[in-house]
Amino acid sequence: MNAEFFALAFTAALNPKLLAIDLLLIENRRPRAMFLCVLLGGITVGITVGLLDVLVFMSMRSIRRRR
Amino acid sequence: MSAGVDLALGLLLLGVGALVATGRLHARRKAPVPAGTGQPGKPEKEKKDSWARLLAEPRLGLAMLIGAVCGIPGAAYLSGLHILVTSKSSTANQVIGVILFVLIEFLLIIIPFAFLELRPEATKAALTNSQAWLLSHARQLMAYTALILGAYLTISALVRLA
Repeated sequence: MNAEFFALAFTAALNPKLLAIDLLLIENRRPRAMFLCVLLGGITVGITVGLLDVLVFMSMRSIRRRR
Repeated sequence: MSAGVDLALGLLLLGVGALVATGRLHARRKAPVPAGTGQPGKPEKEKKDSWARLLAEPRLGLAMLIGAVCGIPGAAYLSGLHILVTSKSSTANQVIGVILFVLIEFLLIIIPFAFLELRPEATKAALTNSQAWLLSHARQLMAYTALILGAYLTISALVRLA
């Protein structure tokens, strides 16, 4: 992890879609539950895709090395 | 990306940024509705109201789906993963990197959620104010982003070409 990695992470965080979602959720009758569900859905998909990508790449690299 | 592509993209962004900043490049505005065509605003308003009603209801499944759609990786995430994969760090570090990236990516949801727990009324007001500020400063924000990104790309390309 280097500075470029964190710069990319903060660039990804500057997402107007997320601000729009905040504004919609805050008007909801149960904003806490809605926020929690959005977070759960997003973090689950993000981490799953990320781990799959990183670990699959790792295993493919080690298979290539063995050959 | 090659230095030539970076330079071309940087100069293009600088040009667009300068045009937006000086007000020579406007967003297209909606054409005025001719008189005598009934009530054109009504269906649009009804559509908006139905969306607002839909989102005003606590639909947890829909919220989870919206979150999942937002969690689909974008260009920045894929670039970050590429940095992780190509780095020589251990698997544990890479896993921590993935989790950190996703947490940072969702800060715009995590921070309001945390503040909603601590200070609900102030959070609602702050979100509404930030939306108003963003809408009123959209042009300046676009111009500054294009200028900064364009300057960065141009300078880095020139350094590489020199």
